[in-house]
Amino acid sequence: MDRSTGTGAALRGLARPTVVDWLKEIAGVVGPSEALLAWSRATLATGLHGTALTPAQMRVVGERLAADATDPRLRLAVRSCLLRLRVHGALETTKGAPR
Amino acid sequence: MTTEQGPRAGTAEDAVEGSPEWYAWMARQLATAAPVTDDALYDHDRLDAVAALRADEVEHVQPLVGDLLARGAAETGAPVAMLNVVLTGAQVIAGAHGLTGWMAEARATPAEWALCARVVRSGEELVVPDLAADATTRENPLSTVDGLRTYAGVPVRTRSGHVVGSVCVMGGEPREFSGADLDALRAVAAEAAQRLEGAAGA
Repeated sequence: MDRSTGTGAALRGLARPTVVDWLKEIAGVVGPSEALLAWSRATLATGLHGTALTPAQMRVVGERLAADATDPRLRLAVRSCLLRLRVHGALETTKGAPR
Repeated sequence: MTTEQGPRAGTAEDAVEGSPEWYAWMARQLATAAPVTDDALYDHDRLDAVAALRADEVEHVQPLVGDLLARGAAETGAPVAMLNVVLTGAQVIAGAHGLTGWMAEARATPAEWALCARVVRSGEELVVPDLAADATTRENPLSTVDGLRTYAGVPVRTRSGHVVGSVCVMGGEPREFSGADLDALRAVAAEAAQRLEGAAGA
């Protein structure tokens, strides 16, 4: 279940990104193998393992991944993931009613 | 075993990143995630152009184009003008004038809500006089929740022809856009592209 129920994110139908969501988006740019390899390096570097990471943990892994990326396409894909996470975070604290 | 919780929620309690179990599980999750080749947002040359221009960096772009966007808003009579750079699953609001609320805080929106993503995909201008009356936008949360009613966007195109984003104006009331309005936006988009390329030494 989306943990954002009742928030601005839920109101807008925006689910919290998951690790799998991120890997799929990154794989869409660089392919599954490179996505998995880059992700593994970032999780090893940060010590944040598992696929049930909190948003804060995902941000740490993502920022590490982006910082270590030598492929600009990979960096932009990760940046895109981080932006979606940021949007979700901003909307978690936003209310509002459909117009 | 579930997609949400990963291999640790199933029988492979010891699966950690890099282990054969983890790779096997994740490979199954990514089985349909081959590189996207049919979506302009994922075009490698376009992404390279975005990266070369540092167009995704708000702190770099905002000082370069802030005055242009203020001019664009004034000349079109719109409350908000933006330079949105579209990545893969999200757009970054790289430059903005008059923006408030959560979008000003996040400086981004998901790509599926972004009308500027449509501009990038088509490479053409997009004008929606009334988002609530348009079948392609009336369910968009930016309209149904945030109250945006009108949009006009033009491509920001590099000299090499890649559309990295869009200069757009938005407002809370339905309205038409004149030829002069679109000319103003085209001029802002062209000058924005020149400034981005100039700053990059391109």
